[in-house]
Amino acid sequence: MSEIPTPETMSLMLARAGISLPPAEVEELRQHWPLFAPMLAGLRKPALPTSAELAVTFKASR
Amino acid sequence: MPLTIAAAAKQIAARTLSPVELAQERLARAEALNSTIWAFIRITPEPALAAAKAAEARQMSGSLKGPLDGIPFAHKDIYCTAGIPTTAHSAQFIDHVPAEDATTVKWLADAGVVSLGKLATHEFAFGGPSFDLPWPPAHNPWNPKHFTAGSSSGTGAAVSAGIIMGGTGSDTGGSIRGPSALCGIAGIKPTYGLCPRTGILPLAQSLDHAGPMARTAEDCALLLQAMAGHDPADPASAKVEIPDYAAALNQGVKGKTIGVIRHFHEVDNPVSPATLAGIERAIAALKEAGAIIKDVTLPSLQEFNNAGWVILMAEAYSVHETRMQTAPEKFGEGLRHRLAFGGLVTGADYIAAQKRRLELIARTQAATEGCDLLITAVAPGEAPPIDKVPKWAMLEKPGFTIPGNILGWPAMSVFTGLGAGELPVAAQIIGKPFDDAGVLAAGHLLEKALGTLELAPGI
Repeated sequence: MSEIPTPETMSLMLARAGISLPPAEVEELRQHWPLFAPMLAGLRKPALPTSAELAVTFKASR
Repeated sequence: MPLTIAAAAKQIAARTLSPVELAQERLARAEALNSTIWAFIRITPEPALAAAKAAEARQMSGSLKGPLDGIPFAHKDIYCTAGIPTTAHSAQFIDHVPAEDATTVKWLADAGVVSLGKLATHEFAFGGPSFDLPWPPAHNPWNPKHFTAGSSSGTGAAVSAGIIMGGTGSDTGGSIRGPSALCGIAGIKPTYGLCPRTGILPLAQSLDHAGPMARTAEDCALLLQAMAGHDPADPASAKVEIPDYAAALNQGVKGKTIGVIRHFHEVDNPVSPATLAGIERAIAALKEAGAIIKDVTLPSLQEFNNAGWVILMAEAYSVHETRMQTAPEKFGEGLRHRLAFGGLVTGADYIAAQKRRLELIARTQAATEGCDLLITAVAPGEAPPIDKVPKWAMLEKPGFTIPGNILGWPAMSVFTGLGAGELPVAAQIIGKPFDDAGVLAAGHLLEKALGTLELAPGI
């Protein structure tokens, strides 16, 4: 379980996304952020060496 | 046994069943039950009866379009319907009246279905169950105090209650399979790209699938026949030959290898005793029918959920960013909070999730080499009380359905029996890309072997 962010950090994160919510809702999101943060952290642990990473690419078509 | 599409089609073809009388009976049932199960957002008797009369005219002139002609049906309220409000069950879209039908709505209408109205959904296919929206959430016909799962909640409830014989659903993280499981019906999330999403309000485009829900696998096959096909307006739409799904239903499983993803439902998220017993009965039935059964080990359910939820939330926020920034109060609280988390996913997070998705697909392909089908759970157990569903349940324990969306492989919910509280339990059959016919055939076999075709709620 990751740590609950400070109220200031939570407000800053939401403001960066352009989201403005009532204080009680910001507090609920802050309390539940530790449910979501580990999912993000789990993705940042490389499963493959950098040289073997699968690339997200684009395929041009006519 | 409740009337299925396949049985009704035979009676309509034999002129022993009137499409108009059938529509009238089902419209009356919809009106009578809606204040109990809230399956419909909108019942549309006038266009329904007009469509039924047209079907009956074709019946009498010997020009029926096929097995769906005159069949009572309805669309999830994220499928755009020309001239009929399509609200996504949200105050945000309460006045949204599309000018055009979604591609699949048009194709199903061309096949003759009689749409009775628009069905409840979790808000924008992601927010429920919510009690602060313009309409109540759908309730489970097996026990109206219980949850339907979602997001195709109204379709699950209306099919299960015998109002419609089939309906549309969409599945981004399990929204066809979840309500099919908890409502005791059949529902298939087809291979990604098989059914076009044009005209369906999006949730997360790289995970969104359109598909059918009905009482049986056979009925799903008949509906998928009308919904599958190439539409150049959907960039993900596949250009593949569409097989005859109904004709392939009796192919059975003899000689097929079926991988049991035991760690999903026994270790990663242990299921209820009745759910586990249903899966074991299904495995035994498949073995009895000649399948080769073996355990397979895939990446953990949590790994699939990490990538799936991050992609889903980020893409969903991208769809709704302007509304979240300008009028967040017009969303229900549940969706508003989920979207807010989506807004906190960074670009690097999203790309990491997409890279992990590619890696999960590669690892799953390697782990399932030689397997034709896979089996595991759909849901952890029986439907909980609708007022006791935790708002953040999806993040608390890893779900069984999102691997199918990450992979894009076809997956269906098969009703395996009744568990605690006489509520349905189910198993999930997963196939390789574009073997939707094989998945449906396994579901068809299991429904007959397990005797669940006879079961229906007493509502």
